[in-house]
Amino acid sequence: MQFLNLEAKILEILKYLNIKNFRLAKEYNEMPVDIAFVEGTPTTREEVLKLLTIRKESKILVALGTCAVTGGVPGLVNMMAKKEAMEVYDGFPPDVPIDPKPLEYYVNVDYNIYGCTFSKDELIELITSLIIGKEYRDKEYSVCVECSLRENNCLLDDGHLCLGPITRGGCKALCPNNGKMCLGCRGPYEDANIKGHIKILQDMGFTKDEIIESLSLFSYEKFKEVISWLKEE
Amino acid sequence: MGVKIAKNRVNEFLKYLKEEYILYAPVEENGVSKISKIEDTSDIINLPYRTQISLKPIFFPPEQKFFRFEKKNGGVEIEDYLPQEGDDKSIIFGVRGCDVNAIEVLDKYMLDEFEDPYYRKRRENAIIIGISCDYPKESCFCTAFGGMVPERYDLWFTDIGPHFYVDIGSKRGEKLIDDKFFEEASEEDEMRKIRRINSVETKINRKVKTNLHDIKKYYHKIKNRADDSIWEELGRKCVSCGKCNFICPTCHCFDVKDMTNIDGSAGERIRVWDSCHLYDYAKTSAENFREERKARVRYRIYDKFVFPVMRYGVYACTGCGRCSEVCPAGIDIHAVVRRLIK
Ligand code: SF4
Ligand code: SF4
Ligand code: SF4
Ligand code: SF4
Repeated sequence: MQFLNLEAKILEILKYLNIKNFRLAKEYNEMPVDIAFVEGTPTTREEVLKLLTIRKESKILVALGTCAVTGGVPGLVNMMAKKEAMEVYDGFPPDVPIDPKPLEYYVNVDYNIYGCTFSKDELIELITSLIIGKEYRDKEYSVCVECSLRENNCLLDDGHLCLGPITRGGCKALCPNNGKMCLGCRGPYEDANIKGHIKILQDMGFTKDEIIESLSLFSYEKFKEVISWLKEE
Repeated sequence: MGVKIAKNRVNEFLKYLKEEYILYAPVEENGVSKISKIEDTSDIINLPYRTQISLKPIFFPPEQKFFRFEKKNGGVEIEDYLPQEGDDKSIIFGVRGCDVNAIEVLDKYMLDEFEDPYYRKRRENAIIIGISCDYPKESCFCTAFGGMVPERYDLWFTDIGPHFYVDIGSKRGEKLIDDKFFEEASEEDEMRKIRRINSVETKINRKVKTNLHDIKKYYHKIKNRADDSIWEELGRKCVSCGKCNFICPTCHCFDVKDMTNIDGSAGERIRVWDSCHLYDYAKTSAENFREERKARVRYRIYDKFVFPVMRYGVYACTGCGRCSEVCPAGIDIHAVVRRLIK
């Protein structure tokens, strides 16, 4: 829905893109399309099938937002017993529930737009790149980079469990700018030294459980190996 | 012989300077101490040592726009932002020795071999009024490089009780000495100044115990440790956050980007600070020549103590200790260097 919040920009974007299928904002749907933006992640068999169709019917598939990119908060259920998860869903489990996975678990994803909510600036950057034929690259550095460029006081120094060092940059350090620790909503980047950061957090006095809880919030799927390593450590 | 100024006249002196110059001095913004443009002299803070943020952003900001471009009538129209930089004269008050030395190092990168006109414009007209520290911060180690009073400055203040002793280091500095504020200093005042500086430096030395003055010798020693196991060890700790680079008053790497509108017909070219600790820093179309973290960690230390010595005959570290202060992984550059020269 963040798409509709692009406001002024959307008019400009519409000059170049012809929106054929927008389930929440437009009445009729046409396929195939050049670019499909998929928000969220499938949690039922039907949704998986729908995703496979979208992939077949589009030239470019963009995973939009954390749930699509990392499995996101729904990925948390992977940590719990199925029974518990159903309790969380208040007795109304999604029909034939399946584990929420990143979209790339099912289909090839051409581009990822990270964040919860995803960054409008990056979406515009991607669309611009597609229109002018420029390469769009994922940020390969952390939130700390953008945080330091803004001369913020580091929240780690004040004893907060900030995930900035292992979280992919691109949000312009939205949370730390507002004095809130980075919860890792954009997921880890490829080069992240996750074990190094765990060591830092342990030296600061955080327990294994606290660290695992924090890593699991947005990207359990991406961190699960390091989490099982940490549990045994 | 120097002059002196009564402490209670300093504020008036700064107000007087402000009439003709843009004044920069230490302030605190959002809990961070830095050197900023002063609107009201009562905003200036009195610190016994350096600010958290160095002078660097005044001359070389984290993000800087170079020009705007627009495709028009079959060509490209360019509006250069350089003329907007202004030729205003500025005075930077309350700078510490490590930062004055650092800006001289930065000058070598930005004005020597390659000239950066945007940097030059800001730097050229800046007068430096420095001040001796009252005591060091935990991470300070300037005495390893020669102490807290730099070789060059315009004016240099040292606390000698009810007065500041003022050394005059340049013609530009001399012009600022107005009888309204300054009086002749006596020989005794000068002795007091020397004793004062010695006592603070002795305090730093007691903790630092490193002397890197013999540049040739130490640069060789460090250079020969390229295959040491220390890099492996530090590479495991470092989280590649880049904070050590951004905070360093001599780090000068940047990336240049074009930010365009949606069809690329207009936009701005900007430069943004970069860091040699980041994965894509050394990525080229052919390969990433510092893919391993340990190679990146080593590179920063070498670009402080080895490469600048080969290129310009100086270290690119002045012992301000900021990188050690901000490193979340606890990597302390002074401790690293001590191990390397053992
Ligand atoms: S506050 Fe968080 S994001 Fe900012 S520099 Fe510190 S660890 Fe990194
Ligand atoms: S390094 Fe030396 S000159 Fe710099 S703040 Fe510390 S004591 Fe002062
Ligand atoms: S390398 Fe560290 S101690 Fe040396 S000048 Fe840079 S920030 Fe200061
Ligand atoms: S501040 Fe420390 S952890 Fe961050 S890049 Fe520098 S050495 Fe590595």
